[in-house]
Amino acid sequence: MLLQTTEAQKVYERYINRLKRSVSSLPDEMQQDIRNEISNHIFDSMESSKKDTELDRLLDAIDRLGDPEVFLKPMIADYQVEYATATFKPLDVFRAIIENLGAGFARSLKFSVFGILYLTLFTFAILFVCKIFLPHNTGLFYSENGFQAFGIIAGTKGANEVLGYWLMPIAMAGCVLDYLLITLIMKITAKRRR
Amino acid sequence: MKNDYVANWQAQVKKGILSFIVLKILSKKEFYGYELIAAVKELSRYDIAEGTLYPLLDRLKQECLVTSQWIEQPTGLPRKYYYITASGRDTLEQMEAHWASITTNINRISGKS
Repeated sequence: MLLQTTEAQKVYERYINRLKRSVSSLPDEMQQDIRNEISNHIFDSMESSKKDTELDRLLDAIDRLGDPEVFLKPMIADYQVEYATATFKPLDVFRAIIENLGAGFARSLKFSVFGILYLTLFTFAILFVCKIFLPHNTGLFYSENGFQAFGIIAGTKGANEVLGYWLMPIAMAGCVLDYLLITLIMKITAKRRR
Repeated sequence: MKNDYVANWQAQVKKGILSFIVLKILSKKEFYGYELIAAVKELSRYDIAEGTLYPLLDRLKQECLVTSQWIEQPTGLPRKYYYITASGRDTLEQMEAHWASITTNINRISGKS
C-alpha cells in the first residue's frame, strides 16, 4: 500500500514489518495471505476514519487493530502444532513442543541444555590453552590397560598421550560445534519472542 | 479488586461468545474481514482489538465452519470474503439452543420464570 505522506508511509511500513516478523514461522503462502488481509483491513479502516490527516487515520486504524505480536499468537500456536505433526519434521515437532509446553518446564529444560553446552565449550577452550603450556600433561592418554584419561593429568607415568597437537584442532572444533548448537537452540526457542 | 474480578469474568464470557456472534452474523450473508469486524463491534458493543478476529476466523476455517475466498473487486482491490458452511449452520443451531437454555435457566434462578 502506498500512502501520500512519507511520515505515514514510514509508520505503515514499520507496522507491516512487525506483522511480517510475527508470522515468519508460517509457510510463505499463508504469510502473504495474512499480510494482504491486514493491509486491506488498514486501508478500509482508514477510509472509514473521521480523522483529518492521513497519518492520524493510519494511527487510528493501527490502534484499533492492536499489536500483531499479540493478536496473531493463537493462530501461530495453532498452526505450528498442526504443521509439525502433519509433516513430521523433527525440528518443527521439537519447536512446537517447546512453544506449547508450560513455560516453566520449557525454560528449565532449555537452561539445563545450555548449561551443559557452555560447560563443554569452556572445557574445550581450557584444553586448547593447556596444550600450549603443558603439552605433556594434556591430551588423550592410553596405557597398556587401555583408556586412561582425556584432559589434563598430573602424572603421565605408564600412560601415552596419543593425540599430540591434534588435540588443538579437535578442541577448536568442539568449541565451534558447541557454539553452533547454542545458537541453533537460541534461534529455535527465541523466534516467537522477538 | 471487585472490578478486576468482573472484568476477568467478562473477558472469559466474551471469549466464548465471540465465535457464536461471528457465525450468527455470517449466517445472514457473506462478509469481508473489515466489514465483518465492524459488524461484530457494532452489534455486540464489544470493544475488542480488531486484529483478534483474524485468528478466530482462521480457527473457524480449520474447523470447517466457515470458508473464505479472495474476490476481485471492480475497484481493483481484492477482498477476502468469509462464508458460513453447512456444518457451520448446524453448529450455530446447537449454539443457539444452548444459549436459549442458558437464558431460561438464569431467568428461572432470578425468579422471572
